Amino acid sequence: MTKYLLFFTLSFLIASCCNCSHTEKSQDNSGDNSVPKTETVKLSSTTLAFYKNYKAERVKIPPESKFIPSAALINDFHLSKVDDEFYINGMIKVNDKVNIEELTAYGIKINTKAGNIWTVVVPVDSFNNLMGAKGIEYIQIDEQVKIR
Amino acid sequence: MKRCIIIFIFLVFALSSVFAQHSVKLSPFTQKLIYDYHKEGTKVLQKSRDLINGKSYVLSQNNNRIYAGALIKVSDNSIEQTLSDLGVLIGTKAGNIWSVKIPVETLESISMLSAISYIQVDEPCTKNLDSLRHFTKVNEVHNGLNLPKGFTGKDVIIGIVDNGFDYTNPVFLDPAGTSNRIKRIWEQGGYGSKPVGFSYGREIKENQLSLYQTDSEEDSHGTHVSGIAGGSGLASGGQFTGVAPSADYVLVSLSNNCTGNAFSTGQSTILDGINYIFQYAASVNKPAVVNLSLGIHIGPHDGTSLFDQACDALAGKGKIIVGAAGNEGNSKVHISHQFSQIDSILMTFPQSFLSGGVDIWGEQGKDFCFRLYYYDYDSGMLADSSDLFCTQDNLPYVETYDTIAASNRIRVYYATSHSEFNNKPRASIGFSFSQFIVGIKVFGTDGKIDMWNITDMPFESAGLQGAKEGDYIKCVGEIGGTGIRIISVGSYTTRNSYTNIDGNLINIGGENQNISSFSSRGPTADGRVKPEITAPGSSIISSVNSFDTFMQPMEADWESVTHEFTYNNKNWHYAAFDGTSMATPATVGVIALMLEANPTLTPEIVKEALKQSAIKDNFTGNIGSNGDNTWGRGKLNAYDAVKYVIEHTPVNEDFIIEKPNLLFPNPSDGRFSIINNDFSNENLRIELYDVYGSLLKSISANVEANDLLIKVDAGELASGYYFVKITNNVKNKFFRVIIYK
Repeated sequence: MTKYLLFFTLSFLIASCCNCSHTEKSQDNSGDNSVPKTETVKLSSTTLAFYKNYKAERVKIPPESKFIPSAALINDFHLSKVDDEFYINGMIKVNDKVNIEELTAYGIKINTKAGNIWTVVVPVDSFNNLMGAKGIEYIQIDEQVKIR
Repeated sequence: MKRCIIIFIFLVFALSSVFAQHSVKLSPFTQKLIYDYHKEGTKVLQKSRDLINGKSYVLSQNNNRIYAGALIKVSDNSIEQTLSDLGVLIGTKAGNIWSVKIPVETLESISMLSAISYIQVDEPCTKNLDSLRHFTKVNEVHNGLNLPKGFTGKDVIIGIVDNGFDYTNPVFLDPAGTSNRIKRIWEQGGYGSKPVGFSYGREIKENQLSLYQTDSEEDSHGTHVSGIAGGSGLASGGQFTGVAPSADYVLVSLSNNCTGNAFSTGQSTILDGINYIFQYAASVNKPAVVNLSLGIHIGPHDGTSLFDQACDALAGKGKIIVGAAGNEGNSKVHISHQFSQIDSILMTFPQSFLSGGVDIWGEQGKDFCFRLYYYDYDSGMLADSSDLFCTQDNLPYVETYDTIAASNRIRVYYATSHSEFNNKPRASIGFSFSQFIVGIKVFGTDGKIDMWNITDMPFESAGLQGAKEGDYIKCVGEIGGTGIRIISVGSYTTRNSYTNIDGNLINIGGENQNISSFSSRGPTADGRVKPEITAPGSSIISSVNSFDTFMQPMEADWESVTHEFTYNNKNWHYAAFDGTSMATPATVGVIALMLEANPTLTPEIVKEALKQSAIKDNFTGNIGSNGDNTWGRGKLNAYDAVKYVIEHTPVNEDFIIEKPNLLFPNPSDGRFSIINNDFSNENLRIELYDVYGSLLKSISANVEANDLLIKVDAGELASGYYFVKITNNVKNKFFRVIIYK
C-alpha cells in the first residue's frame, strides 16, 4: 500500500510544477495569465491548477494548431488519450440552463448523469468552451484517489 | 450427547496425566498435538499429509521430517545451540519470543528444557476468512439456521471498483467450478469496445473472458477484495470461501492508459464505474451492491462534495454503495479550530515528505487567511515566511517560489475561494521543499475551520509553543467515508499476527476484537456519525492476483503471502492484507446476502438493519441510539441483519403489511389461515409472490358473511419468504409468510 501513498503524494503534489512561469516571491496571477472570472462557473482548486498550466502551454503554439499536451501535463492531471485526442475527466454541476447539444458540439462526452452532477470527458482544447457553456455552475477535474 | 461427555472427560483425564508435569509451559494446542502424536504415533504424521494443508495443524515437511511451526519463550539465549542440535529451525527472534519450526517427534523433549518457559504451536491462521465468517455470523446465514433457506448472494450483483484483478482466479468461479461468475468487466484505461453509454475504456463481456487474464501485473488489491466479498473458496477447499459465494461480479478496473499499469483514477471515473454496475444490474433485473475500497482527503468531508451528491442520486432501491472509512485512525490527519476575537490564530505543522499539502474549509460567510512559515530543518530556526492570503481574495491559482537563501527555494501553490460549491470558504495549499519544515498559521475572528493533510500524515506542533497538533477525529475520507447514503465501514481486529508462507511471524499489532488502530474515526465535518459499521479488517487472508509480479517469491509483497493451493494444475496464492479496504468487502458480502433475501432494500433500510443487528460487546461498549464515531453501530452481524430484513421489510414500500398475528401459523408448511376482518360475501383472489415480486400462485376464494378465517393451501411452494395479497379488486391486504419445510 505504501507504493500507492508515495505515488499519490508525489503525483498530486508535483501537480502543475512544470510548464509554468514562476516569479520570485511574488504572485503569479497577474495580467491575462489568470483564470477568467465568469459570473456563473466556479472551478475547483485542482481545476484552476490544470487550467493555468494548460494555458501556459497553449499560448506557445498558434491557435489554429492542434494542441499536444506535454508529458508533465498528461501525468500530473491524468489526461487520457483516445483516437489521438487528449481528454480530461471530471465532474460538473449543472442547472436547468445547460444545453447538451452545446456541450457535445465541443466534443465533450457526457457519461453519468446523477441528478445535477454529471461526469464529463472533455477534449483538453475544449476546456475553454466548457467554462463558457451555459448552465455550468462548477467544474471539478479528477483528483487522484487512493486505494485503502 | 452423553457419549460426547464421556469422551471429553476421558480426553481431559488423558491429557492431564500426560502433561501434568509441564502443562504450564505448553499451550493447549501444543498439548493436543503431543497427545495426538502419543496416541497415534506415526499415524498422526501420516495424517499430517492432510494437515500440511492446514486443516488441523500448521505442519511442514522437509527431508522426510515433519515440523510444527511454533512460538517459544526462552529464558536463556544460550539454548539456541541445543535447539539446533535437536533439529529445531529458528526463525525470527523478537526479544525472548522466537519463531521456530520443531520436529514433531522432538516436541515433548524440547518442552522439558528448562530454558524454554513456553511453547505455543501455531494454531491454523489459515482460518482467517473462516474466522471472519465466524465473527460476522455469516456461516449461519449460509446454512440457513432458522431462516427460510440458506443465503449465499444468489441473483445479486457485487460490483468491485478497484484495480489488480485476476480474471482467471478460481475465486470468481461458481461453487461447482464450472462457470465464471464475472458477468462484465469495464477496464476504464483499456482500448476496445466501450460500454454502451460511456465514452472510454474497454468492456469485456462474459463470453470474452477467456481472451483476457488481468488488468495489472503490479497489483492484487482487487482480487483480494473480490475474494472476501464473494470468493468461491474452490482452490482453498472451502477454507477461504467469501461472504457471498453465489453472487455474480461486475468488475470496474481503474487505470489510466497514459500512465500504464499504475493505479490512477479520480472521482468521475469511480462514479461512472458505480453507474455502470447499476446499469448492468438493472438490465438483468437484479440488485447490486458496490464496493469502494478507496479514499482521499481532498474535499469538504461533509457529504456535499460533488461525488457524494452524485452517489446520493445514484443509490436507491436495490442499489447500495459501500465505502472504506479510511486508514488514518492513528494519524492526526485532521485539525480544527474555533476562531474568536480572542483566539484568532491556529498554528500547526503538516508533516510531509519532500512535498505536502492541506485542504482547509471554513464556515459559510466566515472567511479566513493563512501564511506559511519556513523553518530550517537542521537548526529549527525560522528562515522566512510567505505573504498573507485570504479566502475572500478568491485567488484563482497562485504559484510562487519563495527564495530563502541563494540556493534554497520552496515552491508554494494555492487557491482560495470565498464560496465553493457548498458556499463554504476554502483554501487549498501545496508546497515542495528540501531543507525546510513548513508551518501554517491560519487567522480568523469568527467561525470554525477544518483542515486535512492530503498526504495522510499528521499535523504536529513541532515543539513550538502555541502550535497545535492534529486530532484523531473527522478522519473518515472522501469517496468511502463521508456520503450520506454511502455505508461507510471501519475495521476491527480478529487476528493481530500471522505466520507467512516462509514461516515468518508477522505481527500486525493491536488487540483482537478491538478496533483496528488504523480505522478512521468520524464524525463527518457536518457532525454525522461515521462509520456506519465495523467489520474484520486486520490480517484478512484472501486470494491474490497470480499475475502480480510483486507477489512472487523474493519480491516486495511476498512477505504477506500465507498460503499456496493447487487448483486445475496451477498454484494460487493467498495473502494477508490490512485495512478498511478489507472490512468493506466483508460488509458488501453481507449486504449481498440481505439483498438476496429482499432485493428492494434501500440504503436507509440497509443502514437500519445493520444498526439493529450490530454486535455490541466489551470492546464496543454501550453504543447509544445515535451510534459511535469509532464503531458506528457496532460489529457487523450478518445473521441478525438478514433476519431483520426478512422480518421487517416489505418487498414493496407501497405495501402495507398486516400485523403478523393475523396470519397463522407463521412460519408454516405452506398451509395457513388468515383472520378475516375485511371481506364478506365476496369473491376474492389470493395471490402469493416471492421476494422478487413474481406471482407464483393465484387462488380464487368465496368468503361468506360469517367466515372468520380464510384458509390458504400453498403447500407446493418451496421453503422461502413470500408475500400474500388478498384482493376483491377494490381493497388489497398484504401479509408476510415464511414457508419452512
